[in-house]
Amino acid sequence: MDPDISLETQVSARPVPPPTAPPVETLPPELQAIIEICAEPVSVAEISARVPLHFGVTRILVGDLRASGYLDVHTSDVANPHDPATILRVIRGLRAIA
Amino acid sequence: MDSVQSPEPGASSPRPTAPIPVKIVIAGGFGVGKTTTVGAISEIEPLTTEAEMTEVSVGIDEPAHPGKTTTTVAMDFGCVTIDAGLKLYLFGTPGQARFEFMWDDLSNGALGAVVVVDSARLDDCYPVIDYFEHAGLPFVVAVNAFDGRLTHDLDAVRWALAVRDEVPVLAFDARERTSVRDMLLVLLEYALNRTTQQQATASTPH
Repeated sequence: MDPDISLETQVSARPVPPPTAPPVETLPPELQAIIEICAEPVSVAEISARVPLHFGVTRILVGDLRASGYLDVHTSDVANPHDPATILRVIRGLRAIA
Repeated sequence: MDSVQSPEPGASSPRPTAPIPVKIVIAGGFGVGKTTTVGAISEIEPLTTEAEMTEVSVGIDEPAHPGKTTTTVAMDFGCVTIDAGLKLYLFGTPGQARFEFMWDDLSNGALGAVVVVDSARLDDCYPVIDYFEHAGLPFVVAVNAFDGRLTHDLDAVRWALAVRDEVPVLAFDARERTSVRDMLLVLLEYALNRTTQQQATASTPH
């Protein structure tokens, strides 16, 4: 299990799985469900809630599907929470909410 | 890295790129309004993810179930799109000590935390306040004023919870989007001040 995969980590399905990977239709239903949910980028938490599967199980299956080439898991796309620019961006975004 | 997307030959429309996620932890006892808080501001209906926790039994030994019991904890969450590249997630978590196993994961990389309290029942939130203090995570104490009334005034809540003077203690209405927004803004401005002060201290020549 990849400890870098957090609740909020974004996951997206690869448009075309590698030729070595078996066709999606041959995978177990819960794996197919995960790939389908990831047609648009979503967080691991959303995948867990929508399949539904426990978060711990979801994290393992997402890691497996990444390893076999079906999913991109954006573990390196993280913001530094101590960066004033990031905090200011969130402040501006929230202020725009009416 | 896996996050680098290669352009697809023949793709008709550009695929949406994944936003960078940021998060805020919403902690508090049962029934204080965590899910209401998340739901008031989230652009999706709050979703629930379940995490499994293994408790090592303490006290009486039970030979039939040696040592461990497993319970499931529900975590409600929602999200707010900040701009084209940034998405804010709000994760609710129970504030009692036995849920501490979840707080490391939740706090790691978080912008800050909100401790939602019901001023009539303050006991539930001591452990999570302690935890955020030790983790160095900026947090605010947000008293959910259900019907515009507070059982105690805010100074009494601050005193009872023994939070430091710099930690904001405020009243809000968990059902009102603008009230939740303003409460989150207090947290973020506090987090911003803290981080700029820390950076100023770090760059001061000795």
